[in-house]
Amino acid sequence: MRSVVLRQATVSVVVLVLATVILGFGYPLVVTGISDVFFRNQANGSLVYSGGRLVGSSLLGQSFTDAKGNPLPRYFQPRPSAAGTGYDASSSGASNLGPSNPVLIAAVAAREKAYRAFNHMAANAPVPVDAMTASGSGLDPDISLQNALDQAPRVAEARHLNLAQVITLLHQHTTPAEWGFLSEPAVNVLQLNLALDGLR
Amino acid sequence: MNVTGWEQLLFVCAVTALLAPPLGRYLAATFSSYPPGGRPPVPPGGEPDERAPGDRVFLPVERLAYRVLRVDPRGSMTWPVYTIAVLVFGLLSTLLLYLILRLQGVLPVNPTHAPGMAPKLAFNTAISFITGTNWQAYEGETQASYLADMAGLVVAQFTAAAVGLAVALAVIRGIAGSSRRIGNFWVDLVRSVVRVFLPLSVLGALVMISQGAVQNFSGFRTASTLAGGTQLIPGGPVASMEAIKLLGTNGGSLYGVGGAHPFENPTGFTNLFDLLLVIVLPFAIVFMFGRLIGRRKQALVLVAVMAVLFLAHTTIAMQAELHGNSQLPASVQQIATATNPGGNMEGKEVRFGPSGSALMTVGTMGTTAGATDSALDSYTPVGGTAAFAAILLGEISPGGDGGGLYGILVLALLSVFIAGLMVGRTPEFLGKKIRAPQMKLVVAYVLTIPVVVLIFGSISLVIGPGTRSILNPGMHGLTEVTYAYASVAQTNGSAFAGLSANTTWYDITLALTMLIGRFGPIVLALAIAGSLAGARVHARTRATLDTAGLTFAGFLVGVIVIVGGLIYFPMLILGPIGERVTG
Repeated sequence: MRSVVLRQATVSVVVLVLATVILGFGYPLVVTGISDVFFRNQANGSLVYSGGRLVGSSLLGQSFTDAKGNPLPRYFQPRPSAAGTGYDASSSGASNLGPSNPVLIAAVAAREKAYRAFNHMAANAPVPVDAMTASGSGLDPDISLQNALDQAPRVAEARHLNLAQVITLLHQHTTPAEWGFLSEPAVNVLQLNLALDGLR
Repeated sequence: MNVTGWEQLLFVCAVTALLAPPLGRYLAATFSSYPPGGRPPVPPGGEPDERAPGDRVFLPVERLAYRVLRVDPRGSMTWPVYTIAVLVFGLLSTLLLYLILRLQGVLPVNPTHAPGMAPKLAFNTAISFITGTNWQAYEGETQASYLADMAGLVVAQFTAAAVGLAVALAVIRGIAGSSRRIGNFWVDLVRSVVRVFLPLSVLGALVMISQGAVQNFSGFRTASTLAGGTQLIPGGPVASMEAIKLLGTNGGSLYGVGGAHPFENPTGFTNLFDLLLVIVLPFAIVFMFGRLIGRRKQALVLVAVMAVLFLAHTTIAMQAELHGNSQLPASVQQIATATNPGGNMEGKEVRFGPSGSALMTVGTMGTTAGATDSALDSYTPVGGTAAFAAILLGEISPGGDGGGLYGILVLALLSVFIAGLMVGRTPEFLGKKIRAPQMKLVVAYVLTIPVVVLIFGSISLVIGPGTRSILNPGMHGLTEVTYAYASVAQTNGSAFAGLSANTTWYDITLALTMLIGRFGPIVLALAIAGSLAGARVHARTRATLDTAGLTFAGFLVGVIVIVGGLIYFPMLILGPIGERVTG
């Protein structure tokens, strides 16, 4: 019995050494090497530069607020975020609030009011659900088309642009459903806002 | 359910149906072929092949491995030796991982400057990854170094998956084979990694990177946002970990939110690709079983049962999440329109929408991966129950790599026993009589997990260290606690993540639950296989219960639902069902 255990323990130790070298270092390094050749942009986080400056990643949402945390009317606004203090990519996270949690119900009510006021909507106008809720990652780069359309008049006004021009731009930055059904149509907020800044 | 939802579900089913049978054939050929230098210990599914597919590449690697390990690949083990090998390997792997996690702060490859983990957190995390649970009580981005991710957690993800498959192979040989010996653990382990998990992981990782998943060693990059702030952009060897996390039905990501993170699961394509990486292999293992025992119809029956359960969980959850949260006012548009997918979007990403989120998240719940792309805690009561049920029914839809197969085989033994009692005949499975010694082990297997879950869950609900960690009030809070124990006991590892789990009470009790939930069933399954190994195979007569027919499939579903359902029903009533009814 003791010799059986010792024998298996010896093999285990050698297996662990081999596994650490081959699976722990070899495998990720090989994958990194191949991706560095073929998919360098993706492997590094689909980074977005503007005027030589790193402004973010096209895959990560970011805040468009002033120093006090108020949303800037000239930018399309992303969804509410539970990552840190909002779109903190070093601390991804969801609210984890249950559907019946009073905290969630109250937060949605407050967001509803703020959304209508910010976008100059009628007091009982329907609001898109993605603008009322925080995403699973807290870093959702997208908003729904309806959410973008609701925000377009405000953005156009703040930028003194023609509404039709903003809506055209918005449609240009809408990703349709992949293969027609794999994903939902989505508007990438960072890319849309970058394009708006580029208009000037 | 909406059209997009049906299309997504159909796509997943079609690809699985297309890939799982050939992959099962590959696995069968691999594991019934001669290992270098000798006859394999295979059950009577026809004569073993001289060669396995890919020998030209894999065989030299295997030979080298056996030479370095000083293992004679021809040496087949009895069940006690096989079990000792599994347990000793598990113990030593846990020790090594514990050391890495404790020392990561002073080890190299740590651009995010993660400090060494505290003892209780390292204890919990080490056991979590060795058992294939991948419960993450630590913060992915800041509390694990890249070195710990790669050389510690990823290695554990490979070995946990390979151990699961190895145990399943041993169980097949015991239940169906004619020898008292059930294979060589080290051969099964090496072959699983070299011929299955490693090549598939490289492929899977590259596909995901091509779609936007990240793979680098940059640590945090600082971006200056358009609005004038800063954002820390994370990096890391994400895709390489993601591939084995999914293929190995492990579930643990480099980032805290796992499959919801855009750097891990960037598109609708990767979302369903992730789900397929999880479920195709467990289904393929059942097809492999059919070929190894030479009864492919038997495998089809098990696949059908798994598929029915999978479809039930996913369609119910998708429907519930599409329907939205009934507690929100009507002015919040949860009904789908052309410009808004609607649904219960709290904790979900726009690109996946309600149906894609529920399909991926709840689809992986019936495996031991529990890889989520959305926040389960914020699911509707019905959607959350569907995920919970997939776990409670024993992780067999289609289950983890290997674990799904031996899990459903044990339930099949229970079913032939009950059926045997009904008709008054000695129960038989694959021609072997099932008698009292086997039934005692089967009952112990079925009861192990509920006993730990209900005991620890109940204690946590009455003591301060248990209840203080709850985020959501009322019945939902009860679900957070009981879900945690059920999830880790079944080595699933997903969470109603509102629970603050990194406390002494939860770190320790959840770790113990994982140990019992993983190794208890493994030892019992191997013991059952050992007790049947070498038993006489009886010829089929007209009175033999046909275990490869539709009647048995229906009966098996019934047993699964009754065993899983009745044990946990009070807990579900007080949790999600109560929440739904009172909400």
